[in-house]
Amino acid sequence: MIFNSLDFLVFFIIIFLFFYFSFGITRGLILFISSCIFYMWFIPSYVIILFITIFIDYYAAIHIEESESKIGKKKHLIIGIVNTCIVLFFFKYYNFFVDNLNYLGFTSIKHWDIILPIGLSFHVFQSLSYVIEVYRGNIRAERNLLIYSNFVMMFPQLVAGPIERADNMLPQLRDNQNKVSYTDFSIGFGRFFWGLFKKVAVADVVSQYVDAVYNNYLHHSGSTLLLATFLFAIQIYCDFSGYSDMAIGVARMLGFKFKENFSIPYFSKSVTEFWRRWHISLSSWLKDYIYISFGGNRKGTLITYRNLLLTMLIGGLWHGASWNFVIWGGLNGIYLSFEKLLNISMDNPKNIIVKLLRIGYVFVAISFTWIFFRASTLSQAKYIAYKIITDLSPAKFNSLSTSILLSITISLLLLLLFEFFLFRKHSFDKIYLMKHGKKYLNILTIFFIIYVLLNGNFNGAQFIYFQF
Amino acid sequence: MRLILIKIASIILILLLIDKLFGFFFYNYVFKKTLSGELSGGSLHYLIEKKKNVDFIIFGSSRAKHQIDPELISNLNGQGYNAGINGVGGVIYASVMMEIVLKAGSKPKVLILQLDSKHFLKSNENKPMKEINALYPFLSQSLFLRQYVEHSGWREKVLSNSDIYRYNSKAYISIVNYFKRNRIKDNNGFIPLEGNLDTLKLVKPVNNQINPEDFYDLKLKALKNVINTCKENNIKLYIVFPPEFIESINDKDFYNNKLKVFIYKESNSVRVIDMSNIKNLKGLSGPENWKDEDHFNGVGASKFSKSLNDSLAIY
Repeated sequence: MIFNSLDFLVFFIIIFLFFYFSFGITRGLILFISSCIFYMWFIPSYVIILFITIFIDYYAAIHIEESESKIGKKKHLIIGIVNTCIVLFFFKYYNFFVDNLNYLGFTSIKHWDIILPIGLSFHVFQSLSYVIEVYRGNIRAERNLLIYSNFVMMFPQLVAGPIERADNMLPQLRDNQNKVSYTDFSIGFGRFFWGLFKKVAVADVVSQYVDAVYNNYLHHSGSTLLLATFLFAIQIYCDFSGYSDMAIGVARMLGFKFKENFSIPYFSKSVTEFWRRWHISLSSWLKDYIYISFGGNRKGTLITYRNLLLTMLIGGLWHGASWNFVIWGGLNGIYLSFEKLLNISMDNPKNIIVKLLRIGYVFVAISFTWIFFRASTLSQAKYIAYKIITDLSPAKFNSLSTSILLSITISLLLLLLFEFFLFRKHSFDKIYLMKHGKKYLNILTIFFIIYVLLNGNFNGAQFIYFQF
Repeated sequence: MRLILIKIASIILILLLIDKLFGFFFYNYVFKKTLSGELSGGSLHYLIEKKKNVDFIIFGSSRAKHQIDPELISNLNGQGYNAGINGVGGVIYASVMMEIVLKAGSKPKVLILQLDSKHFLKSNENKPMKEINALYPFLSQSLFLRQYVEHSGWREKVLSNSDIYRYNSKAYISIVNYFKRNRIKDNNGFIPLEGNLDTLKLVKPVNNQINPEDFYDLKLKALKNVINTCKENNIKLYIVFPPEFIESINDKDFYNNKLKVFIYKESNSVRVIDMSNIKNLKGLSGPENWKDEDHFNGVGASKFSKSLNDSLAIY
C-alpha cells in the first residue's frame, strides 16, 4: 500500500476513525494492527522478519539496562547489533557479497533468489539507534513491548522513514492522553497533500522524461543525458521528500510529531550543508553512530577525511547492495573531505553571485553522483558519465514533447514558488498560526488536490526509497 | 471531530464545485475549440469540424498516422483523413472515435483501420489510463469508453467522476492548441516522419513469453464494436496489418491469423490486408525507408501508401 493510492485513503479513513474514538491501550493496539496490515500489504510473511528484529532489540535493550557491569552492557549491545545486522546482511547484502566473491574466483556459491523486505534498512537503523542510545544511557529501555513495537513499526514511517529516534517517539507513544486535535489534523492534512503534489505532480511527471532517456541511454547524446540527470535530481528529491511530507502529515493527523527530513537541500552552498538538509534523519544517524564512533574530527585532519569517506561509503552501502551505491557514497565522501580541506564546509558567502555560484556547484556536483544512483549497472553509469563529459553538443539534444515540456516546466515553477518563497520561511505550523492561517491552509490543500488531478501522473512508479 | 468533519465536508464541496465549473468551462471554451494536437482532442475536432464529409477515414496508432497518406489512396475515389493517434494500440481508440465521429454527423463510406496483432496480446497491454488518455474528455459521449473505465479498476472509476481529472496532462497543451487554432492549415492528418533508421542502435527485444491464448478480451470487444458499427452504418471496413523492420514478437503469423479468424467470424464483408511481412513489400525492406524499427520515414510511407492503394484495388 502506498500513500498515493486510493487503497491507502480508505485504509487511513478507517484507521483514523478507530484511532479517534479509542483511548489507552486500545490506541496502541489499533496502531499496531494497522501497521501490521500496512506492512503485510506488500509481502505478508515478511512481517515475521520485522517481529524478529523487534524482539532482538527489545530484549537486548532491557538486558543492557539491567546489566550492572560495563562488560555485560557491551555484551548485550553487541548481541543486539550483530543479530539485527545479520538480518540486514542476510536479506540485503548476502547476494552482493556472494556475487563479488564468485567474481573474484574465491567461491562458487549459489545466488539466493529473494525479494528484499520493504523498508528493511529503515527499521533496522531505527532499532539500532534505540539499542545504542539505551547503552549510552541517554534513554531508558522501553518495558512495554506494544509501545516499542509501535516505535519501530508505526506505519507512516515504516517503509521509507524518516528514521525516528526513540527520545522523540517513545514519549509520544507512551502518552495515552495524546488526542487527535483539529490543529494537528489540519496541519497534517495540508502537509500530506503537499507531499502528494511533490510525488505525483512533480516527481512522477519528471520521471516520464528521465525514464525514457535512462532506459534507452545508448540512443541519447550527452546533452540529453545531462538534462535527464538534472531532472532526476529533482525527481528523487520530490519523490523522497514528498514521501516524508506525506509520512509526517499522516502521523500528524493521528497526533504524532515526526522530525523534519528535508530542508530545501538544493539551495545549499556546500555539499556539507546539503547533507545537513537532505535525508536529515539518515545523515544525523550516520553522524551520531558511524562518524562519531570512528572518532569524528577529534583525531587529526587525515583521520577526519578517512572518517568522512568511510561514513559516506557506509551510507552508500545502506542504500543498496551494489557498487553503484558504494561509488555514490564515495563521491559524496570525497566532496565532504574536499570542502573540509578548502574550509568551505559551512561558511555563508555574503555576495549573492558567489552564493548562486556555490548553489550551482552543489547542484552539479550532487547531480553527478545521482548518475550512479539512477543507473541500473556500473557500466551504464560509467557510459552515461563519460557521454555527459565528452558529448555535450546542443545540436544532438533530444527535446521533449510540448505537452511533457509544459507539464514539467509548470510543475517545477510551482515547486520553486512554494518551496523557496513559502515553505522556506513558513512551516505548516507557522501558516496555521497566522491570521487567517486556517483559510490559507485550506486554500493550499484545495490547490494541491486540483493540481494533482490536473497534472499528476497517475501511472507513476512506487517511491524510489521503498527499495531500500 | 465535528470540526474535522466540517473541514473535510467543506473542502469536498468546494472541490466538487470547482471541478464541475472547470469541466464545463474548459470543455466548452478551450478543449472543444482546439483543432490540432492529439492530447487536446484537436485532431478529432478537426475531423469533425473541417473534414466531416470525407469519403474515407484512417484510424490506428502512430503506424497509421505516419505511414498512410490519404492523398496516395486514389483507389477509394474520394477525399480521406488520417485520424491515427500516437502512442496507443489503436483499436480502443478506433472504437471510441467511431462512436464520436458518427454522433457528430460524419459518415464516411470507407474506414481503414490499422492494427497490430501484438497489441491484442495481454503481455503488451498498456496501462489503462495511457490507453484512453487522449479520449478521456469524451467520456460522457462514449458508451464503450465508460465500459472501459469500469473495467479499469475502482481507482479509475472513482477518478473518472472528476471533470478535472478528464483533462489530466492535457490542460496545458489544450490551451496552447486553443491559441493556435486560427493558424491551422488545411491538412489530411498524415504526418510523415523525417530521418533514417540507425541500424547500429537496434536493440529491439523479441517477446518470447506469450501464451498463445492470451488475447485481451476488451480489445477484441473494441474490434467487434468497430466491425458492427461499420456494418450497421454501411461503412466498408479495411483492416491493415503494417510491417515492422524487425519482428517484435515470435510467431507473428500465428497471431495475425488468429486475429483474422476472429474478424472473419464477426463479418465476412471486412477485408483484411496483411502487409506485415516486409519481404513481400518490394523496395521497402531497406533501412533507408525507415525512421525506426516500427515506423517508415516519409520516403517509406509514400511507398507503403502506394502499395496499400494497389492492394485496395485488388479487394
